[in-house]
Amino acid sequence: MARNALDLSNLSKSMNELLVLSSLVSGPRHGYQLALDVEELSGGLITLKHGTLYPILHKLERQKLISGSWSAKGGKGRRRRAYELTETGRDYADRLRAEWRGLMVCLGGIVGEET
Amino acid sequence: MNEFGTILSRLERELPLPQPARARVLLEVAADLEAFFELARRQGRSEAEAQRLALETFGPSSDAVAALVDVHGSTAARLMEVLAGRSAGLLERGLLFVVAVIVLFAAAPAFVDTRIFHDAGPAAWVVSAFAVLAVFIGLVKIYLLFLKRDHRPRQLRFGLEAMLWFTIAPAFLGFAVFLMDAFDAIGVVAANWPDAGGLLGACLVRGHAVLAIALAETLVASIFWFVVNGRVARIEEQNAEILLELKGDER
Repeated sequence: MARNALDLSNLSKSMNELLVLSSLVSGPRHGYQLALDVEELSGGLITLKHGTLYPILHKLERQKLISGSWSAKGGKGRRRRAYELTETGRDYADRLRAEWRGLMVCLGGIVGEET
Repeated sequence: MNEFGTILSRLERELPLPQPARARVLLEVAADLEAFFELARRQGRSEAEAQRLALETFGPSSDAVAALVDVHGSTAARLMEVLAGRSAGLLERGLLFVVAVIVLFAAAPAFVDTRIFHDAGPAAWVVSAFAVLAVFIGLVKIYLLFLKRDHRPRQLRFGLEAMLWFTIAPAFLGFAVFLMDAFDAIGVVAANWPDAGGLLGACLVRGHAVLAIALAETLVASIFWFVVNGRVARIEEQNAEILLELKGDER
């Protein structure tokens, strides 16, 4: 049986992973672009601090859920690292998203609808 | 050095990660700092304000550093990083070399006589095999680093971790054999108390010989390790300085 992608004992870690993986579903991103995407999509509600972002990216890459590659040098000689989902990462992201949706429904049932 | 150079230097100092992980984090942060700064400028912020915002956003926090260490730093890698710092100074390496020469000269007569190997028995060859492997890797690394000058970042630390384990293995094995002999000696002495003095000396001959060989070989292998690791640490420092200078020039 597949292990749960969602770690209930550490929801903030799971949520950060979800945010990063979900942002990468639409295509490769640089670390900084990822943080901007999350902030924009959440209407400014969620900010991925850069200190949080790099450890998540490196951990996901080590787990082979995403792969990173350095871009060619641009006009000013800068090289940037772009990340994209691997096949395993895509499956993992689907599972994680499904489990989060399940958790949201479950929490909704406990907390109750707003009247 | 500008503000970005300052923050990258600080991060470089505070990040207890082995290379090339540290260089990778620095490069990523440097590129993102630039991107953040440019975006802020495009949004109409002044250069000073954009720089201040970038520094606030990317300043290294202790939580972030700890998280990165969790992801990248194995215990052995961190130990090597600490030892690399210790072995980087010319004075420290010089002192180690002087101490090693004195110890080896003092021990040389016992080794020349070869009786010590006879006393030590087969355990000496097992202990020596590890030291030989460490010295062999050391010689290959010395050839690559000093003669061939192969300083490719990905190759710099290749083999160093294995060399470290092979360097300290003889000392651990030597102590293990010595303790086993001491344990046996206690049993023999307890059973033959009237002749305890003579028996104790006879029982510990093998343990002493193995321990002496193990420590001498560890000392020799560690000289190789310190020379190689010190060289690698210096090359990495130079690479990091060049990287930071380049980033500083770009701004």
